[in-house]
Amino acid sequence: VKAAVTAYDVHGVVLEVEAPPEVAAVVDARLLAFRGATRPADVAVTYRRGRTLAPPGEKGRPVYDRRGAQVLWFEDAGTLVLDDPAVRAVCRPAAGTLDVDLLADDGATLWLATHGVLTLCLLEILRHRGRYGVHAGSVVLDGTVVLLPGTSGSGKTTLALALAAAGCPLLGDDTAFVDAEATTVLGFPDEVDVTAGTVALLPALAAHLPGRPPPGWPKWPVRPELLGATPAGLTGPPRVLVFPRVSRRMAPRPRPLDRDEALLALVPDVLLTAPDVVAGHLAALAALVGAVPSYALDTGTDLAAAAAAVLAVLPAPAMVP
Amino acid sequence: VTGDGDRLRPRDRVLAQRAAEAVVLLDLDAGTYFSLDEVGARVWELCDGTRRAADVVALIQEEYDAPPEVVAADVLALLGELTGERLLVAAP
Repeated sequence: VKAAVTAYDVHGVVLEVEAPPEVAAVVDARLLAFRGATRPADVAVTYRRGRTLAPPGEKGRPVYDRRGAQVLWFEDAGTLVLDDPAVRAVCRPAAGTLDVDLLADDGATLWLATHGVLTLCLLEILRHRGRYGVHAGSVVLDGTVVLLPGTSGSGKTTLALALAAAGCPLLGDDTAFVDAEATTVLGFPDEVDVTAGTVALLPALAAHLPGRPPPGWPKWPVRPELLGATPAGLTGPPRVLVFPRVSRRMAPRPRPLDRDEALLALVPDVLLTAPDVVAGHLAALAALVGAVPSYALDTGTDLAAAAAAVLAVLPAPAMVP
Repeated sequence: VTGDGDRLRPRDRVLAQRAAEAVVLLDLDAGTYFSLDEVGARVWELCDGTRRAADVVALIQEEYDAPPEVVAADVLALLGELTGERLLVAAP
């Protein structure tokens, strides 16, 4: 079976992905919004079946805990290694390579290789090129970007989908990027990964979904265009940060956060790899919390009300020169 | 471990980022992060390799309107924590 090669331009960083067809199809579904490139590749992403990569050496520093998987940073080699029983990945972010071995043939392995591993390495590759990740959902309002940062399980996907249902085009449900000065948010509208909990809160979504996710997948992949209007562009200036938190309160309640609280809430998602890159990431996040106001929001169970609460805290749009 | 006479500076591979008043510290080796409030951030800023603990205490006592003995106890406790976590080390 011949490997497929497809190019993607992710905000000016061109990836060339070579993978067995069934893997390439999943990656392509995620990166559809970025498909096609007019420049030579900056980054070579290669998926293979079977063990081709050497085990990581001794001198790695653990930088990320993931159930069963170890993520190590090798400072001298500038290499990020993910070592899981089913997937081994070696990423050289500065050099621009990501190699992934799939060591099992089941759905969970395919999911890990094309979601967790790809996202983690893509974030590292992009921040080595001045695009700094924010673990956040994002929607567009009047050409500006509402960011919804939060760790897994905080409700950012659900709130992003509620805002999409309220008419704000979805720019991404889990990941966004900012430039070094945080003047521009770069969207990442890949497939939206939806949990059963989100489906329960957004019954209209259930009509689009099969009874269960693909075998071995923890969530349902949903094309963003099924969830409301698509954005006209993939970038925009930041407008506000709203940190959602799942709660049982009926009524949503926004609370202003100062810049210090907002930065501290963003820092846990910064991967501690190359010191100069981490310093640049911190500076970009500090610029972001300095540029726009931040709020915490107990989202409650009435999502239309939560979406309305987000829109109600919005400051007036920035003057466009 | 630092002694009383040592000038204090941030250890290499500890990153500091200010947002507004507070400073966030990231220890790349331990994989941990810390937050310092406004006064803590000022203490951190003063520990630039040119000052001893006593110098930092004296400057904070001048800058903040609080009983000097309270300031001294608080600053020394903070410096003890920062050196204990090896976020600050003795300058060469």
